[in-house]
Amino acid sequence: MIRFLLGNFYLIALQAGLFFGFFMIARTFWLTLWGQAKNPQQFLPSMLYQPKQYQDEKLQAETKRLGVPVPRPGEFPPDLAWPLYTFRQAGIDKKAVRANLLAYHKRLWTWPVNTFFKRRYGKHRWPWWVLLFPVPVSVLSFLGGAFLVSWASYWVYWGLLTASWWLDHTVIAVLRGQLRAREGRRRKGKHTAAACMKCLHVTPWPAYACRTCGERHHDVMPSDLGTFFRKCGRCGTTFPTLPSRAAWHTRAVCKRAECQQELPDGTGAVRDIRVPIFGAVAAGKTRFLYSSLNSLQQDLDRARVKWEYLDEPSRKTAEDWISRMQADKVDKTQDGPATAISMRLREGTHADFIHLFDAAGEQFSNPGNWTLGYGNQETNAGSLRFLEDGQALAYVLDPFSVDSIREQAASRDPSLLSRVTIAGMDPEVSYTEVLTQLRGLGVPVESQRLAVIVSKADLLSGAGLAVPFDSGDIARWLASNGVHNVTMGAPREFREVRYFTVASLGVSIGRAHDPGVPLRWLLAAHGVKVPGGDALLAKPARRPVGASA
Amino acid sequence: MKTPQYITAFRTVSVAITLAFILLLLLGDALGSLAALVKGV
Repeated sequence: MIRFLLGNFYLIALQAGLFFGFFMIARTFWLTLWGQAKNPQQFLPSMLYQPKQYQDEKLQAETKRLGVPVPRPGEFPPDLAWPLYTFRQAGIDKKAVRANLLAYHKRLWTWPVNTFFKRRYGKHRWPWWVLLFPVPVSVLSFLGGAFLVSWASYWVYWGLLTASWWLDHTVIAVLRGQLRAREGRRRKGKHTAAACMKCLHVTPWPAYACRTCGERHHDVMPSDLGTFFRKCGRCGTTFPTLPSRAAWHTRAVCKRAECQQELPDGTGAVRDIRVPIFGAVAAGKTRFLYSSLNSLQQDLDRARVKWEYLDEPSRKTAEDWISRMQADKVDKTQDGPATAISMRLREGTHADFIHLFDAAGEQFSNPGNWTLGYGNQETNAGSLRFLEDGQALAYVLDPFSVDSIREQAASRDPSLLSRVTIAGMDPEVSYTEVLTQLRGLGVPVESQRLAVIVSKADLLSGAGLAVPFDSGDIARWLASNGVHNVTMGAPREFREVRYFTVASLGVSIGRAHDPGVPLRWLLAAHGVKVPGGDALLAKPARRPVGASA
Repeated sequence: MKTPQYITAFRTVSVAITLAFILLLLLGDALGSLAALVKGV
C-alpha cells in the first residue's frame, strides 16, 4: 500500500487537486455572488444591475435610435423596476466569477511558477527538477487538478446561465407575448380602457402606483421587467404584471402629468363604459341623464346589486339633480365644462364602471369647444372631450322642436306649448352638427351604438298624441314627421341605432317610457350585466299594462 | 442596496446545480480511483 502511494504520489496530488478545485470554485461563488469577502481586493463582489441603470440604458438606446432626446413631452421613461435576472445580471455574474477565479488562480500559481520556472527564489532551478523532483511534480499535479475542476465548474455554470438566457429569449419571450396578446384580447372584449373622472383622459390603462412607495408604473405588461411579477425599483415591493392583475395590488393614478388623479381600485381591469349624451339646448338631456340614472339605481336596488358613486362630486351632483327632478325643479344646465357622473356596479373583479356625460347644449355650438384638448374650467376648452372617447352615444331629441309634431300637439291642447320649454334648434341640425364634428375629428362612430331618445313623451301622451313604443315604429313616426336626416342617416353612420320614447316624471321601472331603458340597452350592448336581463330590453319596447298595441 | 430575493434565488439555483454536477463527477472519479487502488493492492 505504502509502496503504491509512494509510486503514485503525483496521482494522489492530482486527486487532491481535483477536490481543491471544487473548493476553489465554491469559495469563488460564495465570495463573488454573496459578497462575503473579508478582503474585497482579492474577491470583487458581483455588482447589482440597478433599475436606474436599466432605465438609463433604455433611454440612451431609444435616443440613439430616434436621434432625439427621449422621453419626449407626453412620453414616459421606462418604469423603475428590477429587470429580469437574465437581462443583464446573469452576464455580470458570469464576468465577476470568471475574473475572481482567474485572480484566484494567479495568486495560487505565483509561487510555483516563480520557484520552479523563473528562479525568483534561488540562483538555480535544477535542484527542484533533479534532487527534489517529486515536489514540483506533486505541486504541479495538485494545481493542475485544481485548475481542471475549477474551470470545468465555471464553464458548467456559464453554460447554465447561457441556457437560461436563451430560454428567456425564446420560450419565455413567446410566453410573455402570449400573455400580452391574451390580455389585449380580454381588454378589447371587456372594454377596460380607463377614464379619469377628473380630466376625462382615457388610456388603455392608468399608471399603477406602488402601494408602498408610490412609484408610478406606466406599463405593467410582461416585459424585461418581469413575466408574472414585477419588483418595484424604488422600494422592492412585488406585485403582479398585467393591468388586470396589477390593478388590484396597486393604486391606479391618471397618467397625465398635469392631473395625477387617484382612480378607484380596479381601474384598467374592469369594464369601463362611457356614455356621452348630446342634443340641442333644452332638448331634455339633463332630465334624461338623471331620470335614467334614477331608474337604473332603483332597478339595481330591487335586484340587490351593490352600486356606488365612484367619486364624491358624482354623488353630490347626482343626488342633488335627482331630488330636484323628483320635485320637478330642474333648471337649465349651466354653461360650463361637462358634468360626469361615475358609478360602480358590483364589486371586485366583476365590477363595471359607468360614466355618463352631460354638457349644456350651447357647448355643442361653440367651435372652440371642439378642440378636444384637456378640460380647462376657465376657458371651457375641451369641454366636449368626453364625446371623443365614448363607446356609445345617446342623442336626445325634443319632439316639440319638430314642426309637425308641435303643431299636432298644439291642435289637441292649445295651452300645452306655453307650459313646455322647447328646444331652440332643429333636431336635425343639432344631430348633424355633432356628427360632422365627430367625423371630422376621426372619432370611429361606425363602431358605436346610438340611442335616439325622444324626450317629453309624457307630455305628448298627455296631449292625446299616440306615441309609439317600438324602436322601428318610433323611427317611422319621426320620419313621417319630417325627421329624415336622423332616421335615414344614423343607421348608416353607426353600428346600431335604436329609438326610444322616454318620460322623466311619473314613470315606473319596466313601464312605458321608462328612461332607464335606453341606458340599459347601451350598457348591456357593451357587456354590462344589468338587472332584469333581456326582459327589460325586450323588443318591442314595453307597453303599459292594459295599453293597446 | 440589498440584493433582491429573486436574484439570490437565481444565483443559488445555478450555483447549486453547478456544484452538484461537479461533485457527482468528482465523487465518481474518486470512487473509481479508490476501487482501482484496492484492486491494484
